[in-house]
Amino acid sequence: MKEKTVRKNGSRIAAGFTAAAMICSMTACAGSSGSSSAAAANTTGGKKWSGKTLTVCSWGGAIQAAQKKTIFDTFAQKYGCTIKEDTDPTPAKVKAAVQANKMEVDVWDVDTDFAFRGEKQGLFEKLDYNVIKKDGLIKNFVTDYSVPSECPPICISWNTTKFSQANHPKTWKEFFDTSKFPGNRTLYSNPMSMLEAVLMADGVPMDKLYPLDVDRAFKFLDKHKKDISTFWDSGSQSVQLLNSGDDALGELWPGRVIAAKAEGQSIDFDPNEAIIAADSWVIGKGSKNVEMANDFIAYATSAQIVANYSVEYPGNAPANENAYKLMTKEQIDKLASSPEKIKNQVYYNVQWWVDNYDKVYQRFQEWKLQS
Amino acid sequence: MLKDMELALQRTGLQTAETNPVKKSRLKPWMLIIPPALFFLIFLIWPLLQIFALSFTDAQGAFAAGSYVKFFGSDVYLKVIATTFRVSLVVTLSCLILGYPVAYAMTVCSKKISCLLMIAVMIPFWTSLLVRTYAWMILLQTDGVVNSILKSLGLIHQPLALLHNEVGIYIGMTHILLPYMILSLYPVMKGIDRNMILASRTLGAGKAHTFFRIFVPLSMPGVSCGAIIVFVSSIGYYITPSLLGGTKNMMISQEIQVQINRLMNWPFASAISVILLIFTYVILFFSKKVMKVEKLW
Repeated sequence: MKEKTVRKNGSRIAAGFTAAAMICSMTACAGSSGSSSAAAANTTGGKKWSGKTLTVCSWGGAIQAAQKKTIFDTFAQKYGCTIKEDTDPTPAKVKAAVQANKMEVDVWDVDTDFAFRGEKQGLFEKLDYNVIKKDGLIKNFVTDYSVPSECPPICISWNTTKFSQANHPKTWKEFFDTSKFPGNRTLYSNPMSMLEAVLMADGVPMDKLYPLDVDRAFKFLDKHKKDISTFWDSGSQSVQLLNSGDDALGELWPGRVIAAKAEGQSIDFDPNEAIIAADSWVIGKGSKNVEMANDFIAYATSAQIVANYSVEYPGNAPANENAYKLMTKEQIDKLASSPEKIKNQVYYNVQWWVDNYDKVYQRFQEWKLQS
Repeated sequence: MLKDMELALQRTGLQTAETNPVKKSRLKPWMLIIPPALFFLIFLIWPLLQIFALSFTDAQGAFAAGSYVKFFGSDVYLKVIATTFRVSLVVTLSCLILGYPVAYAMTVCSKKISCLLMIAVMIPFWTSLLVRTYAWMILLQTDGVVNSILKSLGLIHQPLALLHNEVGIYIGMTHILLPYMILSLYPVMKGIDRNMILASRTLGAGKAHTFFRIFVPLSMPGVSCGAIIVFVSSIGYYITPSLLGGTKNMMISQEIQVQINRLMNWPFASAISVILLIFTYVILFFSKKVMKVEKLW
C-alpha cells in the first residue's frame, strides 16, 4: 500500500514537472524579442550559407535599423542565409549564455571595453584573421577576439531654444562655464568618456589625457556638482532631457541627436573635442556557426559595407578608415567624426579603462551619493 | 437491509465516511499545493539558493565573504539601502493616506459612482508602467504642465523642482502603486458589517467616534495587506526611480543592475540581493507583529 502511494505521488510530481516546464517554455517564447529578417534565400543557387541562420544581437533603434538595411539584409542576400536579429547585447546576457552553455546568439555588437574584459573571462570565440581583414580597422580596438564595429563619439550638445549654432559652448571648458552658458547640465552616468571631458574642461590637453588624473577630475566635478542635474542612462533619456529644456546642455551621442533633429526636436551638437568610444563585433563562446560568424564579421567590417553603413547612420565614426575613400565629400561632411573633425577629437584609451574601470566606477558612485 | 440503507443514503447524497469512495482514495486536499509548491521550489527557492551560494564566491569562483565585507565596509551601499527603505516607507504612507478615503468612498457611494471610481482606479492600473513614468516626466519637468499651471495661477514665481529628485520618485511611485492599496482596502471595507456602525450610533457614539473606534479597526486587515504589498513592491522598484530620480537618489535595484550589467560583479550583486532579502524579511516580521496580518484570513 505504501508503495502504491509513493508511485502515485511520483506520477503527480512528474505532472508538476511537466506543467512547470511548459510554463517555463511559454515564458521563454514570450520573452524572446528576436525578429527574423529573411532574405530572398536562394535555395537552388549554390550560395555558401544557403538555408542557414545566423543570429546577431545589436543595440536596437536607429542603429540596428541602419545595420539591417546596409549589413544584415545584404549579407543574407549574398550568402543565401537568414539573419535572425536580437537586441540589447549586455555583458550579463553574454555571460549568462556562456554559463548556461547555450549560446543562441552567434555575433554580438558589444561595448569595446566589455569586448576587452570578456575576452579574459573566456566569453568569446577567437576570430579567424584569414577571413577577417585588419586592413583599415582602427588599430587600438583590434584584438584576437574582437574587431571594432563602429566608433560612437560623445559630443557637446544643447537645447536649441536656449543656445544656437552661433552661440553655444565649443569646448568642454566652456561647457562647464555657467556664467557664460547658464542652465542645468546632463552627463553620461558612466565615468568612461565622461572623465575625459571633465579633464579637458580643467585644462588637460587632449593628447595628454592618459593615464587619467582621476583625483583631479573628481575635484573638478565637486566644484560643478550643483550644475549637473542628471546623469543619463540611455540615449533616448538624454535626448528627452535636452529636448524638454530640463537641461540646457549635455554630453550626448550625435547619432541620437541627428535622429532627434530629423524628427524636429530642439537639439543640436558640436563635434569639437568629442571623445570617441567604440563598439566591437565578437562571436559568442559556444556558437554553432563560428565559420559563418567569421564571414559575417569580415563582411560587416569591409570598407564598402562600413561606408554604406556610415552614410545611413552618420552619427558614429567608421570602424574602417578605408571607408572614407569610398564616400563622397558631401557624405563625409555629414559624419560626426570625419578625418577633418577627428583632428579635434580623441579616441578613448580602452586599455586604461579596462584596467581601472571597477575602481573608478565605484568612486563615481560614491561621489554621486555624497550630498 | 444494510444495502437498502446505503442505497437510500446514496440517493440523498448523504454518504457516511466509511462508504464514501472518494474519501477512500489517496487524493488528499493538501495535494493540490504540490504543483505550485514544486513551481516555487524550482523557480524561486532553487535560484535563491544559487544566488546565496554565488554571493559567497570571488571572481575566480572560490569561497569568499569579500562581497559582504565590501558592502558593510563602505557607507555608499548602506546609504542606498537607507534611500530604498525611506522611499518605500514614504510611498506606502502616501498610498495609504490617498487610498483610504477613495476605498471608503467606494463602499458608501451609490453603485454608479463606486463603479466609476473603480474604473478610475483600474485604468491607470492597466496602463504600462513605462508609459505612466514618461507621462510624469512630461508633467513634472521644469517647463512642464504642473509648473506652467502653478505659474499661470500666480502661486509660484520660480518653477518647483519636481523631477530628478526624491519628490519625483515619491509622486511617480505613489501613483503607480496606489491601485494596489485601494484594491486591498476595498474588499475588506466592503465586508464590514454595517450593523456594527448602526449599533455604535444607536448606542450614542458620534459619527467621528464611530468611524475611528469601529470602522478603522475593522479595516486594519486591509490596511496591513495593502501596506505590505506596496512596501515590498517599492523595495524592488527600478524604472521609475531611475527615470524620475536625480543623481543622489539611487535605489538598491539600480545598484544591483549596475553590478550585474556594467561591472559584471555577480557575486557582489548576489550579496546585495541577499542582504536586501534579509532586511525585507526582518521588516516584514516586525510589521507582522504590529499589524496582525493573520487577521486577514
